[in-house]
Amino acid sequence: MGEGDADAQLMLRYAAGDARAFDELYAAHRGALWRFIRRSVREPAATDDVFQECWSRVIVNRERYRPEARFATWLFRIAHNCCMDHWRKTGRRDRRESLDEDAIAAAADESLDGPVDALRAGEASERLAAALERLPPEQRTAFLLYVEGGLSVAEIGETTDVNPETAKSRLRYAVARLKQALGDDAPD
Amino acid sequence: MEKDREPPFPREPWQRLLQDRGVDPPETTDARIRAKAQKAVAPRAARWWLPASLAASFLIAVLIVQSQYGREEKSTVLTEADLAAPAASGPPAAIEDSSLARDRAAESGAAERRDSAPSELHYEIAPEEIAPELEAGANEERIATKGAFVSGPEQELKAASEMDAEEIDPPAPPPVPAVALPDMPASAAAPKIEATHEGAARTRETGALWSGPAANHRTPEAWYAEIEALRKAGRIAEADAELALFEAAYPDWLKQQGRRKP
Repeated sequence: MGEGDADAQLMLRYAAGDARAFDELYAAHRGALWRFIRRSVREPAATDDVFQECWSRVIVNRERYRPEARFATWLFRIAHNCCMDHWRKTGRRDRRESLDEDAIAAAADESLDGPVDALRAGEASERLAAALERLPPEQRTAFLLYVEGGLSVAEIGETTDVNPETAKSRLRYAVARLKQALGDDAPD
Repeated sequence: MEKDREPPFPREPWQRLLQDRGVDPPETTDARIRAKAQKAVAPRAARWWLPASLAASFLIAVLIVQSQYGREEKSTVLTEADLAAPAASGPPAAIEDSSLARDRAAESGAAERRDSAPSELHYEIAPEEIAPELEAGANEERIATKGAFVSGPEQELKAASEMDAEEIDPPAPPPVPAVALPDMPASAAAPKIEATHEGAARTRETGALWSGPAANHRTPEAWYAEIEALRKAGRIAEADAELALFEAAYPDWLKQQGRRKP
């Protein structure tokens, strides 16, 4: 799987000492990774730290990379671990995890009753971002890994250490809530 | 498994919505990460190139200095050709005779010998071996002959110092024709032999012996006493020549010691 992956080949080239290969990899993934981390940690100040930490781990572990999985899977797994470390430090995830499903659903519903002006302005992306923040972390991570990271359901399960069924379930719940928050602006 | 691979919903519309926010990492972060990545794979040898080259330069400098000091302290070196001369163990004229003989031999088989690789053998005579003989005032002719065998760096230094001395001391030694050693190119051998003969002639003329480091290590007091002895013995010219050399070597010694010229 990974052998045919162009990114995996770039990573192998970088591990062999080709700095240009890293530039290509970085250019290809920086935007998605940044958005993933930004929406995962939800703190603009911490996003930069976690983002740099993530790439630092890529650099340090370059020789340990094996193209058994796609590069994106490996990269987003590192990013996910970095986010987990950040949550551990700040304790924020614990607070989020303490919220029950009803509270989350209520929060998602709130977004439906949000400011009328925002709804009318059609700022769907703003509302999506707001709805994302209200999702439980596992669902948000699954959604971001799927959309931003381009990971498959199986890869999401592998990255987050759950079985594919659980990953698929989280993804389904996340999309349902986001659609609910976006209303008519939600993609089909 | 195949079911897991099927995308549960299309990504692209969601990606468009998320990317509309136009959020990207700052350029400074980009630059920092790229620099870190480049530094990580930079060749390690380059990091050590400067210290390694400095260490190598220092080592070479130390070796050069050591070799120079070693050369200075090394005993005199004799060539195989020179070794043939003492067999005659005759007066200086014998040296010239042997030189002429070598000349003839060189002429007769010059081409053959020039083609062959140089087989110069060096024999070392420690300064301690020569010095006692000098101090004991051994046979002047014998010593003079031995002086003719001095070669190598000391011999070159001697030739140079004699050139300086000759500038001070007008009476020049009788010219000795340059002789090509049989096993060396004429151009390389000539100056060495010429200098050797000059040394011998000089030694014969002045009676002051130069025999490598032993002579150089004479104390000014001892030298001064020798000059006085020469003058007392009525060897005025030799004493004057020695004095000139002495003053060249120790310009301020007489003043410092408050002594007058012997």
